[in-house]
Amino acid sequence: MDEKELINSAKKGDHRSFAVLFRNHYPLLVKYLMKITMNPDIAEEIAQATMAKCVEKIHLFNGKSKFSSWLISIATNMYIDQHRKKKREREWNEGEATSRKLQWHMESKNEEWTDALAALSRLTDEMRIPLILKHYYGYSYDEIGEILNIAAGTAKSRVHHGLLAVRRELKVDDKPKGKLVKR
Amino acid sequence: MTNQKGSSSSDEQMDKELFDTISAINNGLDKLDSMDTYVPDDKWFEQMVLNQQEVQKKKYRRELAWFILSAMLILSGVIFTMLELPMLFFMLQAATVAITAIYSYKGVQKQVGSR
Repeated sequence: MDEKELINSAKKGDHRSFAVLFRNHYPLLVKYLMKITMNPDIAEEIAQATMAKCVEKIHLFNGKSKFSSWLISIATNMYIDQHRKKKREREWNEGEATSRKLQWHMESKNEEWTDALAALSRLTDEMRIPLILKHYYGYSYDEIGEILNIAAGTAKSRVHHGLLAVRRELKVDDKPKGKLVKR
Repeated sequence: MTNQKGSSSSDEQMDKELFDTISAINNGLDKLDSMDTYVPDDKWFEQMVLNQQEVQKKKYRRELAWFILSAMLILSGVIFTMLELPMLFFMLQAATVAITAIYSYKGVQKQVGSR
């Protein structure tokens, strides 16, 4: 079964099709959430909440965008909503504390916690999310606007300011070759 | 001319710095992507979906029950007043129309005011 068939039978309520769809997209979803939340626990928590929401709202998926983009859109809005609600809770605090666990997680697997990741983790969600969607996942400003429910111009401005903020922190002096490819 | 050259070279420098920044961000995020993610097995996903579908069914039944109950209460109230207290029925009708009209008018006024 290809993705389209899986989605159609999931819309009819077939739980096995849902399971296959979720299993296929789970790693992408968790890794995306890890990048925007900078916290592995919250990433998994929101990934599971996103899938629950997806079961409820599958009839609204019209197939105009990719299924993965639709999941990313739901996950992003869930994170923003939950963050707004739980802002005062200690586990959701801004800045260094949030990313410390992820840093430890990476270092325990012999992966380097780079200055860029540190700078990225210090950005506000408003800047970090559009920046990652644009320059890592290759979404257009219009698509980012749709995902975040903001104007394309606002998305562009947030990406630019986020980029300037990271540049200020980095004071780039090495010249690695990046890739700006839509995945 | 010198100014133009100066500004174009500073623009180039800025572009280069931004490109380097994007590269550094992507390299960092690539490291995050390369980490192993624990993916639960099919059974777990199936169970999660079944649980969610069950929650939805319960929610739907509850909402339907509330809807039917509310409809029955309203209808029985209307039928009772229409048959036993026709005067009160017409007064209620008039009050409903008046409240709806006032509420709509105020809504339009608020919209016009905000423009």
